[in-house]
This record gives sequence, C-alpha cells and structure tokens, in this order.
Amino acid sequence: MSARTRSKPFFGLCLAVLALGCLLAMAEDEKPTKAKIGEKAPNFTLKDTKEQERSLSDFKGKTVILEWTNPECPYVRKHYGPTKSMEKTSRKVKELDSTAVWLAIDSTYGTTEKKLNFWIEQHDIKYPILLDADGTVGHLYDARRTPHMFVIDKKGVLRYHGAIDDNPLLTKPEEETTNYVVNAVKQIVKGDVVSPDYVKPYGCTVKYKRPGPGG
Amino acid sequence: MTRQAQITAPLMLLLALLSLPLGGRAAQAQHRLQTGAKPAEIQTAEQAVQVRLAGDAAAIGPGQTIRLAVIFTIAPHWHIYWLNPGDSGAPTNLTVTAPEGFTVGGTLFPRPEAFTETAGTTYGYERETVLFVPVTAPKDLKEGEVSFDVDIFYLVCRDRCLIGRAAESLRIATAATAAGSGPSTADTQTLRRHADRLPRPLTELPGASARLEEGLLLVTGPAGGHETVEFFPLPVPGVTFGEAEIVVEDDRFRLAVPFQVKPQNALGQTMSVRGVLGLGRSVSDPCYDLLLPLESDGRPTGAVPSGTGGPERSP
Repeated sequence: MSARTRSKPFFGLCLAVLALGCLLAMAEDEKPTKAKIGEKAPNFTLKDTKEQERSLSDFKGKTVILEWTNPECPYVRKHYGPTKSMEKTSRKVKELDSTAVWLAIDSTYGTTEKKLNFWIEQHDIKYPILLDADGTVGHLYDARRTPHMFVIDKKGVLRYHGAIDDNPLLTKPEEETTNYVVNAVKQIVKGDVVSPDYVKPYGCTVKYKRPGPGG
Repeated sequence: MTRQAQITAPLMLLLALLSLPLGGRAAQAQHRLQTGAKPAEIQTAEQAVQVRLAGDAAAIGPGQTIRLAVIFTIAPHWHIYWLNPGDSGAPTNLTVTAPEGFTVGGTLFPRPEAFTETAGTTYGYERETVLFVPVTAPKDLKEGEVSFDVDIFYLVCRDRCLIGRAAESLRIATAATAAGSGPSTADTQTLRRHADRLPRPLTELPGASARLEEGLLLVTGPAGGHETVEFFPLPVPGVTFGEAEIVVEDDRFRLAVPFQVKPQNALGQTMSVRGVLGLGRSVSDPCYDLLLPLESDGRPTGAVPSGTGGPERSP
C-alpha cells in the first residue's frame, strides 16, 4: 500500500475529529453563562404552579427579584411564618419600585405544584413560585441556600445576590435588621453603586437532585 | 493464595456483611440511649441534639479565667455546623450572659470535619462536640456563687435541617483567692478531649510560615508525618476564597488558597484572611489558626500572621 492511499482514511479521521471538536465547542458556546455580579443575568424559562411559563426575558425593563425557596426549610418557614419578613421585603421593594417583579424559585428535587400551591394558599403569597425540580436554573445562578436572593436591575444586570438580611439567628427585632434586598433596590433606584453586592447567604442547603453515577 | 488466606477471605466477607445490619442496629440502640428516639422518629432539633452546659473548673477565683463548655451530643448521621458552615448550613452560636464585672471571650470552635453535600462542602461536627467560651472573673470577686446563662442556637441537618435553640444555666462557686479553682468537674475527660482539638497559633508549629501574595494565601510547614493537610476557610464579609491547592512532599506541606477581596462587601468590619489548617484528616490531629489582617482597601497589612488559639466569634 502506498503512502498516498494510507493517508486517505487518516485524513478523513482527522476531519471527523475536527468536526466533532467544532460541534463540542459550539455546544459549549450555547451553554448559558452563569450568573455573575455586574453582568447580564442569564435568561431562563420555568413553569409556575399554574402551569404558566415564565421567562426572565418577559420582564425586560423591570427590576426582578429572584428568591430561592423551599417550603420545607425551617429558615424559609421563619421568613414566611412568625416574622413575615419575606412578605414585608416584597412589599418594601414594591414601595421603592412599583414595577418590580418578584419570582420565587424552588429547585428542590421532587418539588410538586400541589405542595407549592398549598404553601401559596397557606401564606397568601402574591407572587408566582416557579418549579425547577431538575435544578437547572438553580445551578445556573449558583443558588446555594434557601432563601438565597438575587436582584436584577432594569437593564437585566445582576446587581446583588446573597442573604436576605443580617439576621441569621432570626432573633433581631425588625428595626435593628439590615435588609440587603431592600438596600440593593434602594441603591438601584437612586442610581448608586450597590453595596454590598454580595453577603454570604444563610439558610438550608438547596436540596438539588443528587448527581447520578458518573456525574 | 495460601490455604489460610482462601479460608479467611470468604469468612471476612461474611463477617463484613453480617456486621452491616448489626452496626446499624448498634447505632440505633446508641441513639435511643442518647435521645430516646429512633433516627426515623426525629422530628425536632431537640430529638437530634442534646445540649449540656459545664465548666472546666468547679470554682473560679478573682481575676481567673475558666471556660464554659457547651457539650453537644448529636444523633447518628446528623451534624451541626462550625463557625463557617461552608456552602450551606448555619454557624452554631452561643450567647453568654455573665454576672457584672465578668469578661466574656469569643466562642472557641474545635477543628471541624468536612462533609460533602449536594450543595457543596460543609464544615461541622457529628456525634459529639464541645464549644468553649472563656470567662474572666473581676479582681474584686467575693466568695460565694455566680451564675452564667448561655443561649444556644444551632442548625442540625441530615437530609433535612432543623433549627434548635436551648437555654442553659451554670452555677459556679467563687473562691476568695485565685488559687481556689477547686476540683475538676465530672466532664473533665470530655472537655479535655475536645479542648485538645482547638486550633493553636501557627507559631506553635516550628518551621511553618504564612504569607499573602497577589491574591493567594501561601502556607508552608512540616507535615509531621501526615499524608494530607486540610484547610478550613473562615471567610469574613468582603473576603471570599477559591479552592485550596495542597501538596505534601518529603514530609512538608505547601498550601495555596486564592482569595478575593471586595471592601464594599466588608459591612464595616475589619477584613482578614482567616482559616484553620489541619494536619491529617482526623479531628484529633493537630490544627492551627491562621489570621492575616488586611487594610480597609484590601491590601495585606504586612503584620505577622497571628493566631488566637482558635477561631472565635466575638461575644
């Protein structure tokens, strides 16, 4: 066999490898970029508990608050139950920016519409809770805890993420508590730099689906 | 394979298989003994964690410092959290109310264990741990008795989390002279075992050094025969850590931890690069406190790294 005939399948193999490489690179490019302070918040589409699809892009031009939630987490229960701090926070945000949109997201593996609808009714929650049972959006935003808050400005830029407030022991009276979400929205409305733009969130682990064998 | 090995291997396998359910039953029995509830029955934090307050001395004299000790007995498979809980959880917190004239120090946390959870790595304690709070008596202390109240907050987790709170009090005799600390308490062995796990200043590890260089915490030193070294970061507001890179070679370790400083997130607090370095993997292996202060703009102060004898939360 001559060198020329030997090189044909070899050349073909190289082309195939190259093509595969290009495809993989393209697939990599199509992966949405993870959420980062000062950068455009990644878009997502999730269904709420009424089966309605909600995309972040639907709220273009509006301030959006994302709240990672899990009704079974005792921290979430405290914020909705005795202190009502979540409801108060959403109300204060609306007072500062009447067009602001609040979306709660549950990335708990196995979460159900039934469970969340019961929670919504129980606490008379006025905003939608989106189901992210496979954790895709949770991982995209690197949501670590419940609650974990994200504030996105009208240009779609992530301006704050982290703890809702400085009350991890849940014992401070409301008047002595600094609410970082309200603080961020206040600064955004004023046109100021958001400071702090990150405070380590406290609460329960987001109960993501455990990775199967091999990842 | 020798004949002895041929017989021993299946026997060992059989024993191992038998020991699995037996081990589980033993653990359950132990838990029932500790908390009076089967693991499956745990519904409240109080069922998962028993809390007790003790002192490391039966009496305290004028100007003397003793340690209040909160002993946590934790149900099997559940855990509570270190000062930095890691990627999830919440730090265990003690709030001490002492009689007038007493000085209360920060809470001292023993070396934690690292746990892998779906949300990432967390740091905390399983089975049993003790958190200490030093209290110093005034110089004009009179003979009699004093009482300390401790409010305890903890988050205990397994596949779900429960918030726990407890309030404990301890009465301690006061002596007229500083030498009158009295006999040791009934918990001496437990307290000593856990006090030995408190991080010591890095200066107590001869040949070790720590410095900050272009966004990296660099620590080197003797590994003391340990094949691994662990780093437990203690991020303060404004300072975040990346993944630690650890190399152990020729019985020396090299640790490089990237960190980022954002003064605007400091919440008005003093920034520093803090953490605990643990030789080996066991909670009873030696561990050292690292504390490298930063200027308000995030630059290293150039001060010599110090350790306080254990990471502590201000009272």
